[in-house]
Amino acid sequence: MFPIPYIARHLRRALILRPLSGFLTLLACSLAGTLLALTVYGVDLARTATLVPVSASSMMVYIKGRPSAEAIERMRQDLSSLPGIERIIFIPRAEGLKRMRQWLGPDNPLVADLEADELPDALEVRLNPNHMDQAQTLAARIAHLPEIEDVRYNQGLMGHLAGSYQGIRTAGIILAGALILCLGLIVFLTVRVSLEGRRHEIEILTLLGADRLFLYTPHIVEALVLCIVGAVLGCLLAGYLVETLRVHISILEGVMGAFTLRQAAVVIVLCMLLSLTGVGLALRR
Amino acid sequence: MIAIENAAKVYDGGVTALSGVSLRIEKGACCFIQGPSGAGKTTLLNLIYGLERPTSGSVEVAGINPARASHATLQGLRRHMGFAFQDFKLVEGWSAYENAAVVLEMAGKPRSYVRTRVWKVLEWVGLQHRMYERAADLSGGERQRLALARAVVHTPEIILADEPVASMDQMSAQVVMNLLFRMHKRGMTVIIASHGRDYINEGTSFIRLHHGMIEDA
Repeated sequence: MFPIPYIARHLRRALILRPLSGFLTLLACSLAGTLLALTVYGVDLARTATLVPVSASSMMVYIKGRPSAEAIERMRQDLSSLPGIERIIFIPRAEGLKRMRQWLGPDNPLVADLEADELPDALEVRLNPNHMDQAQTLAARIAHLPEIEDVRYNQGLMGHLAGSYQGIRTAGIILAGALILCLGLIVFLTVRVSLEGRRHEIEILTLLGADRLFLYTPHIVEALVLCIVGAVLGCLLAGYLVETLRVHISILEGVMGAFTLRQAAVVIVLCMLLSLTGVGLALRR
Repeated sequence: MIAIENAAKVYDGGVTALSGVSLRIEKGACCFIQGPSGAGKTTLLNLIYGLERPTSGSVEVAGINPARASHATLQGLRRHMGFAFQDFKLVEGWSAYENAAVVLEMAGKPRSYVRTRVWKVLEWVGLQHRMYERAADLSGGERQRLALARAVVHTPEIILADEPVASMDQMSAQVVMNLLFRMHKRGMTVIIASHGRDYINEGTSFIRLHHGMIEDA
């Protein structure tokens, strides 16, 4: 059974005796929580980008001249044998013109008088999401084929994000690791300071027969409260920042999703785990 | 039952606090350990409570040798004992209530029981009106009474009291001694170390220590 009144008294005393250090610790936890939340959000956004099919995971391959149906089929087979390609769709020049008129509008002077014969036939190549990082290499290989006129891929911000997913993920892991280390150190030092302040009390309670659980539970609870409150405040601040970016930079609104509860849960659980690690290390010493 | 066999305690520097002390204190007994300052009374209580280890000989409390017990066993044993220390060992920043209540909270007693019991025990020692004062703000006599209240609040099987009335006036001392004798009547084993013989009464056993040896029993 947890000594709840004893823990409550300890927390109240910590707030009364060390209000400034408590506030600064909470502030540090909140800022680290915000950065961790933004890191999780950034990595998640890049992962989402790889799942958006048209903008990120496809490339348009324009064919030279007027190839026969057999030649196109052969080309499709050649391309299918390349790694990282999921699907290839033939887009005849008439279909290409139709699409251009849809994107640009039928009255757009660029396409208003354009004839289908003036355009090349094309192949839309859908990439496997797991090979997004190889899109550039793949495009270069396809562009070198003799029948190919041009290759276009990775349009827009999401495309760039998707293409950089592996790099963003690695950077995210390193940044998250550094933030977790910082938070762990904050918890470690806070608990050490608190233990030092309670040294006399702990000595007396040990004399009276207190077991380790009784002595140290208040510190575990204090660290958990700091980290959870810090993580929640951090998530709220991160959510606010993301929302502000979306509202004020119109180009981002369609690209960036809101900061989700699932992402917040990841941040809070991470903070809880590292607070327990920090307090565990502090108590072991 | 407490059994001490030929216990000796020599501190670093060669000071002998106890030498060849053997005694048995039965469960429910009230034992007075009397002797002048430096006779070894506190050392004897410390050996029983497991605060110090004998240099030679053995100490057994309820079948447990505190000197050889694991940390968890020793802490468990201490929770069944109450020790009113000579230097009180109170948490100065805590209130009188908190100092007494913590022993019951350690034992996992419910909050309502803790409140009622602490109030009652502080009333016994005449401190209920100062319950929410910090221990540091109490007088010497009040702190001693608080230390005793903390030692008896959880109705332990064994109560050790080291000079329990040293800083008290006659009236407070009588209140405290009455409390200890009341605890004895309730079946607790009470061991009182004192340099005076004023409060020894019928039904209490008596040991006189001098230069670390039992001189009279």
